[in-house]
Amino acid sequence: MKYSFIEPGKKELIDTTSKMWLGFIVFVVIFLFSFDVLIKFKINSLNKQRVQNTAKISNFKKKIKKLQQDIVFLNQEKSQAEDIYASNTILKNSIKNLFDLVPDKITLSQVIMKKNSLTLYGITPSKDTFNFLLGSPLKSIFQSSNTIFYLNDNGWYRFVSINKIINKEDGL
Amino acid sequence: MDKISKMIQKRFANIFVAIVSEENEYVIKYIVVKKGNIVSKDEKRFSMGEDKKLSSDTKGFLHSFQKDYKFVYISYLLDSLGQGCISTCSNEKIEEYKIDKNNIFQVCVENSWMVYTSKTDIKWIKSLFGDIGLDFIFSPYIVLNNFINKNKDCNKQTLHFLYMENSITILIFDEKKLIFNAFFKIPYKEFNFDNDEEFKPESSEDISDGIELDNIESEEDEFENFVDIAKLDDDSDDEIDEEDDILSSAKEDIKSSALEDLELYGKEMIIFKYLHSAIEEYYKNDKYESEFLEDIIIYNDSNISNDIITMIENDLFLNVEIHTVDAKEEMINMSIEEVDF
Repeated sequence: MKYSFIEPGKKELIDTTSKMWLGFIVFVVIFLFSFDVLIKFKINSLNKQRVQNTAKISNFKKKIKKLQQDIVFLNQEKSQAEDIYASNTILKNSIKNLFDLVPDKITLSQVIMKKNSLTLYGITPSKDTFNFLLGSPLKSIFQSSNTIFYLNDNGWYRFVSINKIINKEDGL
Repeated sequence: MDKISKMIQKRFANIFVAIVSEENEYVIKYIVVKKGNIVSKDEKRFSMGEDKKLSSDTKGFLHSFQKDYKFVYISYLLDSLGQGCISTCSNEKIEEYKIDKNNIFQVCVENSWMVYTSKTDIKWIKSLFGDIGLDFIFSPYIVLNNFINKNKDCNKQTLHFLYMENSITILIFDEKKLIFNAFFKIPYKEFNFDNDEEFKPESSEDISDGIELDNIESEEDEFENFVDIAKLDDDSDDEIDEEDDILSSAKEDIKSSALEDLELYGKEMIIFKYLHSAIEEYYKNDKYESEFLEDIIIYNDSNISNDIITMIENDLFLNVEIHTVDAKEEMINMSIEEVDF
C-alpha cells in the first residue's frame, strides 16, 4: 500500500567510504591472492626445473667421471704412444746410424734388431774390411760384439755379427 | 536479493521518525524497531526557525539518528494548503478537475480516490530538510483515512474530522466514495492576542475591545483564505460568485454565533468556524452529492475542548463521536507498512 507522496531514500548498511575501503581491501586481497598463486606457480615450475637440473647435474657428473676415466686412459695411451714414437724415432735413428755405419763394400742381407741386441747377416770382401770398417764402430757401441765368418765360393765372406748391450742391472 | 536485504535489515535496528509541524515547534516522535520488536520510543519538541526552517538542534537531533542507525526513515506530515482530493484514480480524469498532472505528486487511495499536492510544496518541504533527507511525506487526508478504516463502516454519509494541533482535516464519504474534503491550517497569529492579553493584564478595556474587533476582522481575512482554499479544491470559476454569497452569509452566521457564544475564543473559534463553513460548502455547493449529515466522528490528536463539542452538538445538530488518536504513531505505522517491514 502506497501512502507517501515520495519514495524513501536508499538505505545502505555500508556507507560509501566504507564501501570504497571494502572494495580496496577486496582488491588488495584479490591482488595478493593472485600474486601468491603466481608465486606458488613460479615456485612449482622452478622446483620442477630444479629437479630436472639436478638430474642433469648428476647426469653430467657421471659423464664427467666417464670422461675423466677416458682422459686417464687416453693419457696412458698417449704416453704409451709417445714412448712408442720416441722408441720408434730412436729405432729409426739407430737404423739410419747403422746403415750410415755400413760401408759400401759390405752388403747386409739381414738385420735383426732387438732391444738389447743387434744381429747382422751379410757379405764382406774380406775379414779385415769388416773388422776395420764395421767391427770397430760396433764394438764401441755394444759391450759384446762377436762375428763369425764363413768363406764363400767367390772368395768373399758371409758373416754373422751378434752384438749385445749388457745392462748392468741385467748383469746383476 | 531484495528479500535477503530486507531480512538483513530486520536484524538491525530501524528507526522510524514522524515529524509534525506545530505552531512554532516541530514535534518529533520516533520508535526504534529491531527484529520486529519496538526497542524504544520517544517524543521530542524542537523550536522552529524562521520560515519553518529546522533549527540546528533539530538538525543535530536527526543527524544523530542517522549517525547511530543505518536505517532511518523520516516521515513528515504535509501541511500545505495546496493539497486536495479528487474522487478518481485514473490519470485521464485528472484533467477534468483542471489539475495539471505534470505538476503534482499523487497518491491513489483504495483505487477509488486520489490525494494530490503540488510539486512545489514537496520540493519546498524537501528543501527544509536539506541533507537530512525525507523518506515519506504523508497527507493528513491519508492519515485520517487510515483512522476511518480502523473504525466501523458507516453506511450513511458521515463527516470525519481529524483535529490536530495546527490543522484540521475533513473527509466525507458515502460508504467508500469520496464526497467532500477540506483541509485548514490553524493560523496562530490570529489568536495570539489571547496570550498578549494574558501578558498585559494592565491593558484597559477599550484597548482589548479594539483588539477583539481587529481579531474578528482578521478572522474575516482568514475566511477569505478559506475561499482561496475552496478555489484550489474546486478550480471552477463560475461557482465562485455563488460561493461568495454562501460564504458571506456563513460569515455573518458565524460572526453572530461567535459574538453570541462567548465561551469560544481564539483558536477554538476558528476551528468551529472552519468546520461550520466546510459544512456550509458541502450543503450548498451542488458539486457535492450532499445528504443530510447526522454524525460527526472526531479523531482527536490534540486536546479538543468540550466547548467545541457542545457547540457542534448544539449549533450544527450533529451526533458527536470522539476517538483519541495519535497521528504521529499512525505516520510511523504507515512508514513501517511502506517499507514492508
